[in-house]
Amino acid sequence: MSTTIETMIPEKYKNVFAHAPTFTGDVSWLRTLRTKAYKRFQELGFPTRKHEDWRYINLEPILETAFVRPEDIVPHVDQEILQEYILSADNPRLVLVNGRYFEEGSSLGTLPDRVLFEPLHKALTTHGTRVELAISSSIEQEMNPFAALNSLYFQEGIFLSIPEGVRIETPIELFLITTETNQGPAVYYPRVFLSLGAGAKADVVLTCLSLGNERSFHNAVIDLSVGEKAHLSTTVLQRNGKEELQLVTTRIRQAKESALSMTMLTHGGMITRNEVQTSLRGEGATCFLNGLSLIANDSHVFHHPTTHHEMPHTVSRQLYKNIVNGRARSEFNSMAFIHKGAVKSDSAQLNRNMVLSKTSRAISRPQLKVYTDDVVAAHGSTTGQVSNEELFYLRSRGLSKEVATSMLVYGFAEEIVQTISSPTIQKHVEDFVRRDLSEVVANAS
Amino acid sequence: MLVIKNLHANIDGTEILKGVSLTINAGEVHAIMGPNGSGKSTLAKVLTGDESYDVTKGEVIFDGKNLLELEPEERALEGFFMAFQYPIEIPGVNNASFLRMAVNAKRKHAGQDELDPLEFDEILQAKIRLLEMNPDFAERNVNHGFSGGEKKRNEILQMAILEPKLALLDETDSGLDIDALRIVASGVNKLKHEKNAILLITHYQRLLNHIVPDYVHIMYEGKIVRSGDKTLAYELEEKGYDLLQKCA
Repeated sequence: MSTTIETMIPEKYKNVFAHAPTFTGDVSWLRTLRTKAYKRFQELGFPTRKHEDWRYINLEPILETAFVRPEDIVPHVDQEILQEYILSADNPRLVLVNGRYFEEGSSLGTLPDRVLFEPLHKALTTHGTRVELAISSSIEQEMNPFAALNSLYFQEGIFLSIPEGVRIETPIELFLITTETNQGPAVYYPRVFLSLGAGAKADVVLTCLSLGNERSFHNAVIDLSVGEKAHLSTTVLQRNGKEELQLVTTRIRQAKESALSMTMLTHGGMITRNEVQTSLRGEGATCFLNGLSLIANDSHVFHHPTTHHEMPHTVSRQLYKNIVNGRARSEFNSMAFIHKGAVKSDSAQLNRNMVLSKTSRAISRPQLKVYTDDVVAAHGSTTGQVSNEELFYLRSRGLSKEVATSMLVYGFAEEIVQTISSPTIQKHVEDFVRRDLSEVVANAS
Repeated sequence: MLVIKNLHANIDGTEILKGVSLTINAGEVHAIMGPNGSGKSTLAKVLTGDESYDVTKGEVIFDGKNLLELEPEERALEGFFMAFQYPIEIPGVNNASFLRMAVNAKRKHAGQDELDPLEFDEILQAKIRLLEMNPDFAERNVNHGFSGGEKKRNEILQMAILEPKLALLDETDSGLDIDALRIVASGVNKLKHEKNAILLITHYQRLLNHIVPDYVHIMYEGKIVRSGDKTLAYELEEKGYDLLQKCA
């Protein structure tokens, strides 16, 4: 199996495949899946700037770096660092460090009995069929080559399955952390599976953290499945070092009358690309996708939310705000598809950007495809600067230019923070946003 | 306290202020009246530090300091305050936390300890009562969705909280109904004492029935053309523009 894949590697991608693992340890269904994933990857190839969805991203740092998969690293993060990011030590928590399960920092035990919450390597053996179902159903239609690569390479990840009717009120905390390994630029392929049965409820916080300034590449895939009348809130906090490359591809399937909200907060990093694709497969499903980027220096952040309204009476909202300073760049490239027969669907996409320097840039491309009548579909975009009038007003009351700017920028950002319904998570995120924001505002160059 | 000497200022190359001179001492209330376009609001903005205006000539000394050399926030920290003619709406910024930051910036500048939210709230609620305002003012966003009258009252609330040495009220009476005017004026009167001063800019004599000035100045075509006591306001009200033409 491993030799088959290696001999198929095209010469120009050899860097990316240099770390090709041997899949000898895999169970047979997983080997079959990897073969399918590789086939799919070959059909797709790496994207070029001719692909609309990849037009503005510079993939060179990813394609030209000779990444390694660090070996013999004992996963570890200092307790103080973890303390800074966890909401409460009492919450269920699963931590991956450098692609491996960090048992010492995790705490899986406090969930109801029937809930499955474990590192993926374990779930692959204990609940393989469910993992197989979640991946193989979509691999042949996968349009993102990096997601296909993740299916080819993933070894570890997070598996959370909440059965029918179980409502969990305490937030569940997930961490994907990279630290410096001193083994050269590292690549990780974490995979997160999250499923809620009918009527289940959960609040999940995923923190993606790259510590230090070593280059690393996180090619992550998140599969979410939300059952009938289930309710899932997710908050994704990305705080990355300046050399971090992070592609996060999220695939969401929603059943009848389910509700999902996802709020992503992005700060730092060299390249971050968040692709979120939701399929509203059941009548009356509702989905809210929100994003906030706070970036300066040379950070590039790309948001690609797509919502498929496949059934009648489905509702979607996309609200993304980008605050760019220095030479940072943001892209909002969204799509709402209203499929044939999805009558009475209601969709709105809104992107608002605040550009704080002459050298930063915000690209905005909300798009809409409607294949049925009798729907409501709106999309809009604004890009502006801090208002001089507002700034003058605040300064005339004794606030310094910097404080007044931070205040106005926070006022702009706050709407996204407020999309988080849990007060404890909202407060947690607000603290980070305020801190990141003053850093971004101070970085005006 | 404030000495303006031969002040000239332009906006986009057009001269608006053409040699304004005015002296205000502690404990005094001054009023500047004049028709639209006479330069009253420009004077207010230049004194506050609006960068859209270029000062081409003259000087302004405030409490011994060269006011024109200071940034807008430094002027505020030194005790200068302007109540805006058109207060700016700032969605997303909470009134109470904005005011607390402003007060603390000033306290820090004066070498005093900063107030914590609880200490500040007590002061804020007392001032809100003084100005007969709804207590929910504190928790709303700065001027956002406020009626014209509420915005003007919010300006006076800020003045009450910041306790400036010199408060400049730029057409604070415009857009106020008679009850709101009475409340705003009585608020200003309560804040007035021997050590501070007030400069009112207004079109109408109406406000001056409530806040009685020691001096009235008439501005016309970028200059103060006549000064007198409060009777000058009555005279202006009676004779209107004819009086101005005589002055010019």
